[in-house]
Amino acid sequence: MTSPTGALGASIQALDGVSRVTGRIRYASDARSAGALHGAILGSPHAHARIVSIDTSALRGMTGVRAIVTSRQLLERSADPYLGGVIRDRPPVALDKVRFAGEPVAAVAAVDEDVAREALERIRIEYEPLEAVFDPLAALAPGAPMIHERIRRVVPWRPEIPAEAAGPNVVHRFFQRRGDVEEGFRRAALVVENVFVSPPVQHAALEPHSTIATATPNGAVVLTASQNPFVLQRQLAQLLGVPTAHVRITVPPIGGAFGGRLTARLEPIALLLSLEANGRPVRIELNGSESFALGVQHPARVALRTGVDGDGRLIAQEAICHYTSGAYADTTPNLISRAYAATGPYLVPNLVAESFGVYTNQVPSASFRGYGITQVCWAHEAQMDAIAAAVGMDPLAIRLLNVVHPGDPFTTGEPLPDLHYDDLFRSAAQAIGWSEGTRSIVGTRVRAKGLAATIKGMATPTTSNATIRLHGDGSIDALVGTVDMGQGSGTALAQIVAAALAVNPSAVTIRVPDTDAAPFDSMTAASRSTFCMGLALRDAAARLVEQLAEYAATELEAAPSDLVLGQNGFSVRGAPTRSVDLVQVVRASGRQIMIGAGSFIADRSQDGHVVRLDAEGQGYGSAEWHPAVAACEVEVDLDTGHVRVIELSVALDIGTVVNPRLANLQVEGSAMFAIGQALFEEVRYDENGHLANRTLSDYQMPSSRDVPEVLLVDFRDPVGSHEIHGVGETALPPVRAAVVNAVGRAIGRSMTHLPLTPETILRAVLTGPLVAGEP
Amino acid sequence: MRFAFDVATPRSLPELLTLLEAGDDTRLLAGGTALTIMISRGLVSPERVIDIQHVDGLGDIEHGDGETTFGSLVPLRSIELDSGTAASLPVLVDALRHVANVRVRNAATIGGNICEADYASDPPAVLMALGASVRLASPGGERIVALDDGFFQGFYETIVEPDEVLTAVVVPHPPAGARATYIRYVSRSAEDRPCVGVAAVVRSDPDTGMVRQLRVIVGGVAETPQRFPDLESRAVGARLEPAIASEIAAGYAEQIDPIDDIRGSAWYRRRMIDVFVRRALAAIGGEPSANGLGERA
Repeated sequence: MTSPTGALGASIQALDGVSRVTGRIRYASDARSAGALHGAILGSPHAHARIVSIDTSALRGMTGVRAIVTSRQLLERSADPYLGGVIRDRPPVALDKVRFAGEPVAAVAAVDEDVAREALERIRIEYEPLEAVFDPLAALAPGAPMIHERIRRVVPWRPEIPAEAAGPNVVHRFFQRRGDVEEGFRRAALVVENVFVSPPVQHAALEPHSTIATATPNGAVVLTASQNPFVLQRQLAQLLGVPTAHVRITVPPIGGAFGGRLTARLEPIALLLSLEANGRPVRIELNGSESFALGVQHPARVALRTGVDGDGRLIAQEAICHYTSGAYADTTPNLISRAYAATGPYLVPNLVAESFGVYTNQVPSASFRGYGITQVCWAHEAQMDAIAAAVGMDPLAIRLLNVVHPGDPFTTGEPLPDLHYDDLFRSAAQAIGWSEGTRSIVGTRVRAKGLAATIKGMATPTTSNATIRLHGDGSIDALVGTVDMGQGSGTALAQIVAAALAVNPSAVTIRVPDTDAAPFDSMTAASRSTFCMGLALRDAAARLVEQLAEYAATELEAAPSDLVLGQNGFSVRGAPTRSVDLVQVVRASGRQIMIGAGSFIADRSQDGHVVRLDAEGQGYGSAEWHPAVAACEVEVDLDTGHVRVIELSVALDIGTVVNPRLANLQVEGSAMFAIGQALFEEVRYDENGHLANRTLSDYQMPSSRDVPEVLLVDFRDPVGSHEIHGVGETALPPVRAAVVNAVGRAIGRSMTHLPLTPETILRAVLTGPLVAGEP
Repeated sequence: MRFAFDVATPRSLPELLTLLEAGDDTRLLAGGTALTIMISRGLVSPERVIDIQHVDGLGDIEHGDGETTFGSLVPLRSIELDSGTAASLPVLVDALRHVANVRVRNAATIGGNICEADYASDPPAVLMALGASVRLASPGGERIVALDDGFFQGFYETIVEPDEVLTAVVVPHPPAGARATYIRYVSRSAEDRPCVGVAAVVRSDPDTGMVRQLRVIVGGVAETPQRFPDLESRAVGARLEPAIASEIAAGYAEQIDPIDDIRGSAWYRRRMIDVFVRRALAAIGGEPSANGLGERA
């Protein structure tokens, strides 16, 4: 039994592309429900305060108000008031205290928005303000205000996370040790130390956050823009104390997510309001400014101390990372382990990495495209440039000297599979003319080139399930939990199904997630869907073909093993005219529909080991390792500090490219995220912990006019693996680092704080120390 | 959210003026690119909005002898695409081409832009440098005010009285041989509002090359566009050479008291005023170019 794979590798247009750009997609924020109430949320004015009392008596009898939710209703209605993927530390509305400015304290549902907002104004809340802390090091210092109790609720399936926190305001600590780092430093000819600081940045997806929740007699129905509908389903079931199967989540196509839609925030509040309103649907929609308080990328402080021998070989590194978690743990316990990539894809025989997630009284940090790697990547890549300058080596040469080769051990001790960084470095560097000189000056404008590499893991373990249905007329649909957020998953997955069933991709419909129909999928995140859901769909297709082949074999009077699946259906090997098409096979089966169910569990490394790290960070860290190298040329105006990215090239190995055009767009999108983060994106707070730039005018993102004049993407598959790997995030970390490194080389300064605004650069030019060979 | 204000939609200027006479707490809506944001953010909450988009006769561009008159409702994009304006006022077209983005320029009007008096805006500086004036109509008649004659009073403040409406912007054509430039400097994304905008127009003696008149307006750095005639006059009677340009630029940097905002600190802005005044003067100081256009940042 063989089948062709023609649909793979074709740059077909996104199947929903025309609908997206002509406004025909019905997003969650476009959805309305007859009779739905309008929900509105009251946020805390304090960054840290005890709630003394909540008085909602002024709302009694107020016309149009149908429901109120405060801590009282939460405790009455919920089986368990706490939410959280790993550490359950967050109630949907504050219980006894607030931990960041804007944290939901109360919510109302009313017949319209004006009544809802007026009702919020009438709620009287007495707070006892507490000292707040905004800096991670200050939060860890003795005497710092305690944001959470040290004994906390950890989900039972994470036994490695202790019930007692590692220290006051510590969310979790990750530790890694390999070799003998002190001995390594003793042997070092040179030791370079730097601290690299990344600010919080915003997801800023275009679609507003919105949800419609309806409490049903035995559960709930929720329409929402979520990246992990099945996790949300379980969380809401747990909140209400009802079986998972009684909660239904549907997710329309989403207008951008980038990690910002992985946390249950509006849904539990809308659901509680609906319960209070006797099951009337409740719709909550935040405006753009309100969405800014939902989550940010983890701000991070990465301190690196690196020892090098006389030839420029890395022999020891100590990395101390502080990832700011903000007010709640969210994904931080998982994310801080990305300190395992604090050396990048370079061989370091002796290392220590210690990484802390730290509570502060700020907007909770959330998953973000580049998941914890972005922050350490620019640190190790800026460090590598500082080392190159100190030992007088070319940045490319020192990287080629130290980079891992296939089979070399990673920081976890695991042998790295087929990662061909040499090839990626040469491709990316050559594309921007690295060897043609790295610095030139015209007038006040200096041009320089920069390089960076990344190694990015994928969340492990995760699971994808899929169901493929072949209908009586030959049409095909697939029920999956993968969310199309604009990344084109619906198109890429259709191509994978089409290839497996030898049909045209346009004949395949990938359904939007509905937990009543689709089987469990962990999430649409971590660059995992094309890989994990792609394999689940291939499994489902194989099982479907197996069943079909039996009926076809009977029809064709041949053995199933002698059949070939092609564009005309099944035929007998060597006798192509003896064939039966898919419609005939379904008819022959008498079932009217044929269903294949498949799954993929990503819990093992490519060489078959269970992914798990021990207490010293040794073992296997990820089911997949995604490699990428970026190189760029920037122009810095020395009079103003203004930077233009002139040329950018990214080389990645993603195996078989399902759809080159869509894969390219993922790299381009990641690159533009990275350029914004390198040069000007930063969420700012005032001295009271209130967001200071929460509009898209005050918080700027790159525009289409900021795209580099030349942007080259090179997908390489040096081993011809025929495997499909993810590409949604991989370019972000190295592009951010490459831009920063190019600017540093242009002005001869080591830049350690992002973003590199023109003012930051000008001050560095005027006052900063020149990069020198000092240890 | 619903907003509590009345909306009036006059069709003619007399009808509009009658409405203005009532003197309520009123805002005029033209393109709506600024007012709608201000209302939705609660920055202004007028009792009444007069939608002037359908008022007859305010949407034309007239090319006269030595000047062009833009009706207040002309969208920025229409000016940018107008061939007559490109011929007579290339620097204006060049400046408008970089305002916000094409979606905004399709809606935003020239009159609305001026009356909004946002300090971080490009057109006011370039219009002031060109010597533009505006026509203000009221129930009592009409007055004409030059933009650099105190039209801009402060942040979002102009001399337009509550019963007045700006009906047209009149821009004189620079004489033959004059050179003009507008340099817009953004410190964040390419679509950001200006951190500094410098408009400069020079008229020189065609035979000797000596400067007869120089105007330099710096926008985006203070409450209103900044002009210092004393400093401008230092170039008069001399060639606009680097030494004079530097002296004038240093003077602007010293005399302006720059604001501190998310696009740059006062310290940074002072330095940028120096840099971009110098660059603007360098752009118009050399040999006259074929199109009378200077360099752009």
